[in-house]
Amino acid sequence: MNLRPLHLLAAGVVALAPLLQALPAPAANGDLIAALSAQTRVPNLVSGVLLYTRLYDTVAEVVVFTLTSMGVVWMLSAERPQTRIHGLDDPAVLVLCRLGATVAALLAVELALRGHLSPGGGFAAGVSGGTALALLLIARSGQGPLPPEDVSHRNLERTELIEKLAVLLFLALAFLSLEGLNLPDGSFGAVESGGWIPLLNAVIGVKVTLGSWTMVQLFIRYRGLL
Amino acid sequence: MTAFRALELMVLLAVLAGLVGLLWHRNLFLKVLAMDVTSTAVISLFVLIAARDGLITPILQGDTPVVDPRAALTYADPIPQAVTLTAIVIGFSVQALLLLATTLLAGRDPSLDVAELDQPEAAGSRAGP
Repeated sequence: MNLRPLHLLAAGVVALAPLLQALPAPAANGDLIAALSAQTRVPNLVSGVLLYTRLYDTVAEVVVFTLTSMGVVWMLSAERPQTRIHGLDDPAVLVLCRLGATVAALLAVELALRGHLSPGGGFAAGVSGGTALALLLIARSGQGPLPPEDVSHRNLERTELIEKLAVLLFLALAFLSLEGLNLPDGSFGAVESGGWIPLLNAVIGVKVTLGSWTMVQLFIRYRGLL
Repeated sequence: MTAFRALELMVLLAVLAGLVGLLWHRNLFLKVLAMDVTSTAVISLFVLIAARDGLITPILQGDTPVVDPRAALTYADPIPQAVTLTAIVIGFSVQALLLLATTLLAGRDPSLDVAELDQPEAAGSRAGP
């Protein structure tokens, strides 16, 4: 292949340039931690930064994710779905899929509701929920053909409607938060504390669950399981 | 050479591996995967930088928002971690769309060879300007 040495050299320079940079002295971020915890009033400072200090960026992030799931639907709309999909029929795999789906669904609720107290948050919860639904779809594929096209199309439209409503709700809540309207503080470390952060986490969880579910479902429907 | 520099070198080598893969492979699908290697390596660079000031996860223990200033010195920096979360989500979105576009292209040319995809199509099948 015509991998020109110049290209290789450029890649090496770009990748290894940070090594030449002198490191700044390690910053003592005690002040930063104290300021952030006083500002966001939640134990999980990463959630606090994401949904309070940098909320404006997170809004754009959610919009990009929405555009992606819309783009997947739009790009696949011209294709012809598979008429039948080879499902899995190994009983052990099906049991494991269902077990995994149960665990992932419970984990999604935990991550969304307590994301501001412990490791977690809306995006992780959404990925977990999407995984649960995808595993259910895989387990379902072993039991006969998929539902007919018009039924699944209606389901998909309903899913998309709920997803769009979740995005709009997120934008409305984010607007309230950015305007400085806040819920009562609550006691530090309780589930109902931290202003809008738990609500925003839950809405993001729903939105990412449905978005990734839409994408996975379409990929399986148009391309098969394998 | 400090431990930080050694880890940084390894992460940067992973970036380099992704870039070389991006240049080396002719297959579009493998190019997309090489891009994913690069993006994962860049994310680990962020994680490494966040852990430079301290190794404890920035989640406060106990039920008061007041931080002991001496304990606060050992927390990792939460800002790069939050920035990285954004990068992960955007990277996931970009990957999904790229893989979908690649799949659609594979319907027209299953070899997905970049040089062949760059060739103008035979006249008549899709007349361009």
